Amino acid sequence: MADAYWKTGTSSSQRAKVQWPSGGQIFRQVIIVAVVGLGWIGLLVGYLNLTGPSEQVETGPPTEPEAVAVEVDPTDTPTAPPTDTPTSLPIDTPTATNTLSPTPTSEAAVAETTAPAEAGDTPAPEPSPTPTDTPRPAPTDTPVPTDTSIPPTDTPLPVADEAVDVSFAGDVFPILERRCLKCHGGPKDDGSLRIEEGLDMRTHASLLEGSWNGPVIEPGDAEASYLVEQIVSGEMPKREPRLLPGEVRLITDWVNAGASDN
Amino acid sequence: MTPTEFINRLFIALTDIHPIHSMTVHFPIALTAVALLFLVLALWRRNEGLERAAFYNLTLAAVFAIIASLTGIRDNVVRFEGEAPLAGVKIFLGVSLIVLLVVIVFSRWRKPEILWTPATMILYLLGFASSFALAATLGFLGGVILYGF
Repeated sequence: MADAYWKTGTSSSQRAKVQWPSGGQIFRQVIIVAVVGLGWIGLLVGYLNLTGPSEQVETGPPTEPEAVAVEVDPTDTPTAPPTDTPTSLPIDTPTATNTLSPTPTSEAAVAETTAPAEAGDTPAPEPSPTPTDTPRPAPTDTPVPTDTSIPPTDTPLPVADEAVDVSFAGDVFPILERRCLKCHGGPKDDGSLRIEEGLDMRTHASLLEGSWNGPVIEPGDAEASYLVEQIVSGEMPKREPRLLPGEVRLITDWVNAGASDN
Repeated sequence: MTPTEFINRLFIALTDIHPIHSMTVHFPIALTAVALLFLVLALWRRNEGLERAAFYNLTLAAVFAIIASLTGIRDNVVRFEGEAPLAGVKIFLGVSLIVLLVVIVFSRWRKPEILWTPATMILYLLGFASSFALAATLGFLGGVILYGF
C-alpha cells in the first residue's frame, strides 16, 4: 500500500488537535539546527579557502556618468554635448551617410582576411575628428569603490596565445549589433537614433571615432582601450547581462590585431 | 515558417542559443517558496492537505534542483568555458540544497507525521525555510554573474 505513506491517519484534512513542542523540545531542535548550520558554514569557509579568491566577480567602480540618450536627426547639425563633458570637444554626429550595415562586400572581406599580418602590423589609420588627447573622465573622479570591488585595471585581459584572425564584420560587429547597438546606434520608438554618450557603433569608422570623451579603442592595445575595459569589468552593457568570455576575447583579439575594418 | 522549421529553430534555440540554466533555476526557487508557504499555512490552519501539498512541492523542488544543477554545469562549461564567476560557490550551495531537499523529502516519506510531532516540528519547518533561503541565494548569485554587484 504505497498510498499509506501519504496518509496521516485521519479521515479529515483538519487536525482536531495539534501538540505544540515544549520549551525543551524547541531548544533541542534549535541547537541541532545551529550545530548543523555552523558545521555547514565551516565547510563553506574551508571550501572557499581551497578555491581561492579567483571566484569573485569583477565589480569595478562606475567610471561613466549616467548615459544620456541623444536624439539624432540625420539632417540636423551636430548636437551640443552635455554640460558635464568638455565643451571644446568637436561632436561628430552621425549623418545620413552612415549606414546601419557595416558589412563589407564579400570580396573585400576575403581579401582583407587573407592578410591578417598586415592588419596586425599597421593599426587602422582611421582619421579621427576628435583629438587624441581629449580628456576622458578619470576613474579617480568617480566614487571610491567598496572594499569588495575590484578596480577594472586589476582585471587581467584575455590574451591570445597565438596570432588570431578576427574579422570585424564577421566576428565583432555581430556582437556589437546584438549587445551594444540598442543604445549606441539603435532606433528609438519615435524613429530617431539612440546614440548614448555620443558613441555610435553602427560602423567601423564611427566606432573608432569614439564618444564625446574621446576614442574608446586604441588599435593594437586592448589594455588601453576604454571599450575593452568597460566590457571586461562588466560596466557595459548597462543593466544587461555581461558579455560572455568568448565574446570579450573576440573583441580583445580584434583590438590587439589593430582593430582593422576587415 | 513551416512546422519543421519551427521545431528546428526551437531545438537550436534551446540547445545552442538560450542558456537553459537561467530557465530551470526558477523552478526550485518558486517551488521551495510555495512549499514553505503551504507548510506555514498548514500549521496555522492545522490542515493536513496543505502539509501534503508542501511535501509534494518540495519533492518537485528536489527534482528541479538536480536539473538546474546539471544545466548550470553545462552552461558553465559551454557558455563560460568553465570559468563562470562564482561557479565554485554556486556548486557548493547547489549541492547543499540538493542534499537538504533529499534529506527532508526522505524524512517526510519515512515519517509522514514529522510536522505534527513536537520533537521534529521545528526541524522540519527550519528545513523548509533553509531550502528556500539556499535557492534564493543561488538565484541572487546568478544575478550577480549576469548583472554584477
